[in-house]
This record gives sequence, structure tokens and C-alpha cells, in this order.
Amino acid sequence: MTAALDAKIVERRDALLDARAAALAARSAGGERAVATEGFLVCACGAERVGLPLASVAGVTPPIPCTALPGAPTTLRGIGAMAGTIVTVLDLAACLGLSAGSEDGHLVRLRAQEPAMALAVDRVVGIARIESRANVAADALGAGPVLGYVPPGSDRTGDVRDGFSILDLPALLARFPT
Amino acid sequence: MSLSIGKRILLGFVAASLIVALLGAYALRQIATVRDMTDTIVSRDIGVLRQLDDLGNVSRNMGLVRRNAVIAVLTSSQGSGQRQQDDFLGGWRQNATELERLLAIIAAEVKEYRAAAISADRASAWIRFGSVIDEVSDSFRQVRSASEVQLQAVNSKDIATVEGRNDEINRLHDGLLRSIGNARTALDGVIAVGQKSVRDIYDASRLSIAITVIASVLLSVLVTILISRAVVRPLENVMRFVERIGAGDLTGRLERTGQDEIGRLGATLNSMAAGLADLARTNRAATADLNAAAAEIRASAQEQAASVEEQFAAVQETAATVDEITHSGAQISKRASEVIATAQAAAQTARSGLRAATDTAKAMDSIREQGEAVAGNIVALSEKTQAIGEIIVTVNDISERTHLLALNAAIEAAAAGEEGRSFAVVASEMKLLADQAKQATVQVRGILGEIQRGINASVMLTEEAVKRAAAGKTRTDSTVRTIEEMAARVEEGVQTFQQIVASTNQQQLGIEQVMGALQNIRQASQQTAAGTREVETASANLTELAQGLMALAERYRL
Repeated sequence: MTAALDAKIVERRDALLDARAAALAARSAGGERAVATEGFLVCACGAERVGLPLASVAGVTPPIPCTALPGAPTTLRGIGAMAGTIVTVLDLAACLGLSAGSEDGHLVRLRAQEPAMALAVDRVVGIARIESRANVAADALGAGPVLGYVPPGSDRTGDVRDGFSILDLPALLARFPT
Repeated sequence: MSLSIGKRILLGFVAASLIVALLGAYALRQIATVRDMTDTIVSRDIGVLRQLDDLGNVSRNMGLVRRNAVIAVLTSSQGSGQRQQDDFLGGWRQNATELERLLAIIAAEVKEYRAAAISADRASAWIRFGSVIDEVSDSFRQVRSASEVQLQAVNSKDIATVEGRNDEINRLHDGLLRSIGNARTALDGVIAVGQKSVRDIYDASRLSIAITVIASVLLSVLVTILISRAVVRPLENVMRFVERIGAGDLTGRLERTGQDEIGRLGATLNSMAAGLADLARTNRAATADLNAAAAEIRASAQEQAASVEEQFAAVQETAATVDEITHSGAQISKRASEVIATAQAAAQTARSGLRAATDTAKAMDSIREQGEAVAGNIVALSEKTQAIGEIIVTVNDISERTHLLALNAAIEAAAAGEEGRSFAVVASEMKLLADQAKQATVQVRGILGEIQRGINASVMLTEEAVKRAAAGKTRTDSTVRTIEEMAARVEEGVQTFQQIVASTNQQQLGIEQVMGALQNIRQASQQTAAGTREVETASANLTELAQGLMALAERYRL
């Protein structure tokens, strides 16, 4: 029995190593072409996928304890301390009109905001790079602050397979005057 | 007519007694009238008669005085005393006054009695008597005047005058005496008239009393008829009703009701007739029941006779059966001896079985111990897999942190622009490694779950095996006990069959006694059959009696 188990583990390990080797080989093929791309940090909010411009993101952190503010809307989860500064935490799912996200998701800290702000998402999926916004569908779905929709398979890195919506961050933050 | 009978009879008696009392009072009053009349007449008449006697005596005394005076004058002429002449005249005058007074009294009485006469006859009789008395008075006045003259002549010693007048005076005096006798005769007539009137009153009283008696008799008869009408006729009605009841007709009822005795009697008789009707109805029903019961008794007696015959036959069959039992008892004894031998062989077999079962129980015990050891090993293995699970959680956490670290590195590389391009590649590689590590942990977790499920199933199977081994041990133990009990029972069976043999011998003796008892039962059955026939006869008589009673009860009309 132990012999059979060992054989199964070895087989699985070999399969993993082969798959990884194949992935590395496939990626190096088109890497030399210098094409102007734009990076997006793709986050999951429930069933939705939302892309944030990579330039506006300062970092990704695990969840921090937040203090709820009295009289605040449901989209404002509260304020918390992060690396010695006070950060206002917004629930991105609630901002997009979806049901409120889970408490133990990831936090996306935004760059160059005063006061410092962070968006709570269910999970940060990865970084996607698309060639241009030429093939982005400009029709905004619903009334949310969304600029357009990136169809599946547009990611040049292959990290994000699903399509995602590009978030209109200034429009979102305009709802919360500082 | 609401008076009670007693009051009616009392009223009749009171009326009759009242009539008798009135009659007695009337008769007493009439008797008193007669007596008063008689008293009146007797007292008046006797009083007048006595006065007439006095009158006669006084007149005779006057005559005697005058004659003595004449004689004295005539004798004194030859020399007699003067003194005696004075005495003659005084005595005569005294007598004359007395006589006059008597006459006056009689006249007054006659006048009075004439006015208060009882009857017209008496009044006319008193009138006649009064005229006679008047005549007496006239005669007296003549005698008095003549005698006065003579007595004065006596005093003067005029003998010639005395002698001359003497004859006339004697004549006059005789007339006086005669008229007094007439008066007595007239008084007799008055007395006779009085007696007659008393008799008349007596006759009238007798007649009126007789009429009153007849009237009271008639009244009593009337009262009797009324009482008869009020008492006897209702009683006759009641008697007719009672006769009808006596004849068996209970349908009628007395219509007369009231507060008197007849009414109460009628009500009582009505309730009595109702009670009798109820009684007769009940009697009729009871008689019908009796008839049915007698018929049932008869049927039962007949059935009993049949069953007694069956019993007799059964007794004979029983006797035959008991005979067969006697034969089969001997066979039982023989077979029981054979069974004893077989049972002893079975006891031997049971002992060898007992040894085999004991060995099996020991083997089951060792199986159970082995199973328990296997279960302990598996539990230790399960604890090891728990530790592996914890390690996997740690690895997962590390891969998650690496994921975030790679993302932050990529963000920083992007912020650095063209200078961070190679760093971005490193960051991308890091992220890929983190994702692959995470996938590996997921796969390991799945395999670990399968392992834990397999362990759990193994633990359960091992526990089941231990339980079954324990159950096998228990069953083997019970098998050992069963075999032991079986051996004991077989031993008991041997003893029992030995007792059976002994009992069968006793049974043979008992069956002989049963044969004797069956003989007695046969005789008793014959006696019972005779008794049943008598019961049947008696029940037939009872049925006839019940039918006679029913005929009697039918007499009453309800």
C-alpha cells in the first residue's frame, strides 16, 4: 500500500514539474517584442472581476482591523492603521452596487490620496497587461463607475484568463469628498 | 247530596226523635189539660156541695131551734123559766144570719163559676142551679119572716099566735128543705155536666194524639224512604259493580265519585279493580312465562334423557378406551427403557461437544485482542495525518503571503517604470511559484481527506470486527452453557423416564380402580335415566297445570 502511495506522489510531482517547464517555455517566445502595454491590478468582488490602473495602486496587504464610523454609508467600511498612517477603507463591492464583500479579503492601498485610502476586495487575482484600450468595449455596464470591459484572453502575461471591468477610480473617489 | 251517609242516618234519627218528643210533649199537655179540668170541676163542685150541706144543716138547726122554742113555750105555760126564751131567739137569729151568709156565698160562687164555665152546658147548668138557689132564698125569706113573728110571739108568750102560726111555718120550712134538696139535685146535674165535659176533653185529646201518632208514623216512613234512596241505591250500584268484578269483568269503573262514604268506597273499589286488573295482567303474563318455562323444562328433560343415553354409550366407550390404555401403558414402560439408553448416549456426546465449544471461545478471545491492537495502530496513524494537515495549513499561509509579496513587487516594478522591468519578471516568477504551491497544497489536502476517510472506515471496520469477535465469544459461551444445560436436561430426562416407568406401573393400578369407578358410573347413569323420565313426566304435568292456569287467567276481562 505504501509503495502504491509513493508511486502516486512521484507521478503527481513529475506532472507538476512538466507543466511548469512547459509554461516557462511558452512565455519566452513572445517576450522580446516591445509593445506598449498598460498594467491593471485585477481584483475579485464576488463574481465580478474589476481592474484598477496599476499606476494608482500603492500596494496590497492582508486585511487590517477597521473601526466603523457612526452614521457612515455602507460603502465606507471604516478607518484603520496601516504602517503608521490612518487609512480610510472603502468596500469596493458595495461601491459597485454588489452585496458587501467578506471581512477577510485583501486590501488595495491607493497611491497619492489625501487622506490615505484603501479598497477592500475579496481577493487580488493578479496583474494583467493589455496592449491598448482600443479593443475595450466602451459601453459601461450598469450605473457603476466603470470605464469599459476587457474581454477574456486580452492579458498578454496570461496571468488573468477572465475578462474584467476597468474601474473609473476618479469617479469612484469623487463620491467621497475629502 | 254531599252529606255523608252517617250524617244522613243521624239526620233521620234526629227527625224521628224530634217527632216523638213533640208527640210526647203534646200528649203530656193534653193530659195536663184533662187533669186541670178535673181538678177545677171537682174543687168547685165539692166546694158548692159542702156549702149546700152546711145550708141544709143550718136550716135544720133553725127548725130545731124554733121547734124547741115552741115546745119550751108550750111547756112554760105550765111554769117554766124566762131565760130560755131569749136563748131561742138569739140562736135562731144567729143561724138565720149564718144561712143568709152561706146563701150569699153560694150565689156569688154561682155567678163566678157561670162566668168562668168550661163549656156552654156547664154555664147553663150553673144558671139552672142559680135559679134553684134563688128559690131557696125566697123560701128562706118567707121562713125567716114567719119564724120571726112566731119567735117574737114566743118571747111574748103569746101561745095562741105561736100555735096559730106553727103549721104555716112548718109548711114553709118543709118547702125550704125541699128547695135545698132541689138545689142538691141541680148540683148533681152540674156535676154530671162537668164529668161529661171532662170526658169530651179526654176524647178530643185521645183523638188528637192518635192523629199525631199516625202523622209521626207517616213522617218516619218518609224519612226511612229518603234514607233508603240516599244510602241503599248507591250501595246496590256498588254491589252490582262488585258482582261484576267477582264474575271476572275488570273493565268497568264506578262513575259515582264524591266526598261521602259511597264516593270514597267507589274510589277505593275503582283502585281495587285497577289493582286487580294489574294483578290479573301480571298473573296472565307470569302464567304464560310459566307455561313457556314448563315447556322448556320438558324439552330440557328430553334433551337430558338423550344426553344420558349418550353418556351411557360414552361410559362404555370409555371402558373400552381404558382397556386400550392398560395395553399401551405396558408399551410405554418398554419404550421408556429404550429412551433411557439413548439419553445416556446423548449425554456422552454432549460432553465432547462441550470441550469443542470451550476451545472455540478461547480462539474468539485471541481474535478480539488482535483486532483491538489493529484499531490502536490505526488511531495512531490518524493522529499523524492530523499533524500533516496542520503543516499544509502553514504551507498554504506561506503561499498566500508570497502571492501578496509578488503582487507588491510587481506594483513597485511598474512604478519604477523601465528600470523595474527585470524586477517585474522576477516578481511574476514569484507569483507563479506561489500559485503553484497553493495548487499543490489544495491537492495534498484532497489526498489527506481521502486518507482520513479510509482511516475512519478502517477504524470502524476494525471495531466492527472486534465487536463481532466479542459477540462470537458471547455466543460460544452461551453455546457452552446450552450444551451444559442440555447434558443436565438429558440427565434429568433419564431420571424422568425412570419415574415414567414407575408411574406407568402405578397407572396400571389406577386404571383398574377407574374400571371399577366406570362400573359405578354406568349404574348411576341408569338411575339418572330413570330420574330423567320422572322429570319429564312431572314437566308434562306442570305444562298441563300452566295451561289450566292460563285458562283461569283468561277468565278476567281486562
